[in-house]
Parts: sequence; C-alpha cells; structure tokens
Amino acid sequence: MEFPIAGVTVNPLFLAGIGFLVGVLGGFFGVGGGFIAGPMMLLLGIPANFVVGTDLAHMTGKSIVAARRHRALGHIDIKLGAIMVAGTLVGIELGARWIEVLEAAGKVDEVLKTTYVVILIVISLFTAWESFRALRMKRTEQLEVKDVLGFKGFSKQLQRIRIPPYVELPDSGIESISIWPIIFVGLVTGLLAGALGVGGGFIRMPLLVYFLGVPTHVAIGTDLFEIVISAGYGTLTHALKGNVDVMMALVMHTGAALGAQIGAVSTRFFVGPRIRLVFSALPMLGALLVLWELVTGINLTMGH
Amino acid sequence: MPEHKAIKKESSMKIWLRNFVIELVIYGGLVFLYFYFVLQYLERFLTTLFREHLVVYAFAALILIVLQGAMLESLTSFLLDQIKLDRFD
Repeated sequence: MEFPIAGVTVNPLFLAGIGFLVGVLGGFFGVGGGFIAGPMMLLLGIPANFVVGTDLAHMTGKSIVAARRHRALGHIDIKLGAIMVAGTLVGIELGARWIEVLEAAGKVDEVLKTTYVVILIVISLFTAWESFRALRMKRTEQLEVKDVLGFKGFSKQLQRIRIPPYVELPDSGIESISIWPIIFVGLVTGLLAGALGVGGGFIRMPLLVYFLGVPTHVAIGTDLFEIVISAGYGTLTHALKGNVDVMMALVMHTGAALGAQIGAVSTRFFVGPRIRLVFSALPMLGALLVLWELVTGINLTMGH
Repeated sequence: MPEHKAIKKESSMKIWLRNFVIELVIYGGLVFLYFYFVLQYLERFLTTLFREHLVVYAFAALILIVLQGAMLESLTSFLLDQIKLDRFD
C-alpha cells in the first residue's frame, strides 16, 4: 500500500504487526515501545523524519486503549498522573533546550547516548536484582499479597519529606506525600524524552515503583495515562513540523489496539515482582540498541 | 507445584489461547472492513490537507488517532467480554 504523505510503499500487515507487538509490550509493561517500533519502521524503509512522529501518533492511540483497560482494572491513579504530567511537559521543553546547548558545545550525541546507556543498564540490573529478591521474600515468607518490594527503604524515606503542598494518593496506597518528588519524576522522564526523543516509559515505571512507592500494577496504568498526554503533545508538535503520516499511524494502531488490550489483561495473571523481572530485560534491550548506534554510527532509536 | 494445579493451569492456558485465536479472527475481519471502507477513503483527503493546510492536518491527525483509539478500545473490550478472554477459565 502506498502512503503518499511519507512517500513510501509499505505492506499494511507489517505495520499492523509492529503495532501489535509494541501494543502487547505497552499494555503489559506500561511503556510506549518506541525503542522497538522505531528501528522496525526504519527497516521497512520509512523515512527517518516520519518515524518518530508517526510512532508517537500510534503510541497515543495505543495508550488510550491500554490506559482505559487498566482504568477498568483499577490500575490508574489519575491524581498522581495529573501532577506528574506538569513535570513531564516542562521536562520535555527543558530537554529540547538542553540539546541545543549541548549541540553548541559539540559531541552532543556521544555524551547523551553514553549517559542514556548507563542509566538504562543501571535500571535494568537494579530491577532484576530487586525482583529476584522480592520473589524470594514472597516464597520464603509465604506472602499471599499481589505485590512485594525487595527494596522499599528509599520510597519510605521520600514519603517522610515534609515540603508542602502534600497530596493523598489512595489509589496508590500512599497516605500523604509532598508533590515535589512526583513532579521530579515527571521532570526527569520528560527531560530524557525531550533530549533523546524516547517516550521515557521504561524509566518512569521503575521510578514510580522504587522512588514513590507506587504498586507495580498502578505504576503501569498511571504510566500509560501519562504517555497518552505526552505522546499526544509530541504528535501535535511533530505533525506541525510535517513529520507525521497519520494514515500509517492509523494502520499501525489497528494492530496495537488489540495488542494493548491483551497486554493489559495479562497483567492480572502476574504478581508485581514477576512483571518487574520480565520488564528488566527492556531497558537492557534499549541500552544495547543505543550502544550499537554508538559503535556503528547508524541511528536506530531516532534520538534527535 | 502440585500435579492437579499444573494440569488446571495448562487447561486454562489452552482455553485462553483458543479464545485469543477467536478474538484475533473476528477482530481481523472487522479491521479489514474498516480498512477498506473507511481508511482508504480518508487517504486522499488527508494527503491534500497535509500538503495545503499543515496546521489543520496536525489537529486532524491528533483527533483521528484519539477517536480511533476510543473506538477500537470499545470494540476490543466488547470482544474481550463476549469471548471472556480476560476470565482465563
């Protein structure tokens, strides 16, 4: 099928297939999946400038599907997501400006990508270590709860910080927390999203769990709610620059919608630590892709 | 894991897979119809909009993807409920 906006001919079944794959990942882990969809779209011959924008557009639709399903399952903390989104939007703008400053200083790609690889590897190893620990705790102490954390000292400390204003987050089981750590999580993920052109879901989900102490299932649903807003904003800005082929995004989304439902429903059959353990492979995969880019010089993740 | 639990889990998984294939076939058919009767006709209109009115195109793109997101969510939710894919037994 010809897509005249992007000026390419691509089999729509491949696009729907990519959508389905990242839809399952998104629904299950609460990530946008851009780091997988992007390289696949490039391999199909889609022009690089259309990859990021079109992927963001399909991500918006897919996250609506997954977020609504997670909401039906009681996995979204709307209040938490709404506060975090303020930090995310500011972070995206700051990230874009940070790039300009770094570009003026030179070697922007190497510095950013190396930082990103280190962050992803740390997240991956830490999440794997913690989930193993939590699963062992669950087994040895015969805990019948859905979620156990093998490392919760940090979030407990953070919840004790008394800088007003405070919010109560009953959907996340948090009695009282200052809004600043929540905004900080949004800001960090927004900054990375703006600087590296990634959705940031696979950084936000572990931050919500370990930093704020949000249960895994709620972290996934809330992350998706956040992606709807940030990807929607990204879609609009990229479309205004002429980087979105909406026909392509609509076709991808037909596969993604089904995948996102399957992924979201599947979370019901797994306990929190098991989801986090499988999740830990994703940041490592993202790190390997960026590392490969650094070595070969071929841009696959479409940072900027 | 006790043997009876393992057998129960295996049979639940088989039912889940069967339901998934049914959902995939029905959903695939409906999406095929949507593709040929709706998306094909949108193509020319959107291409013209992209070339002549980029700002309108940008907002139309966002609205379209949000609308399709809401529509397909309702469709897949309906199918999931009908086929009981989320029940697992």
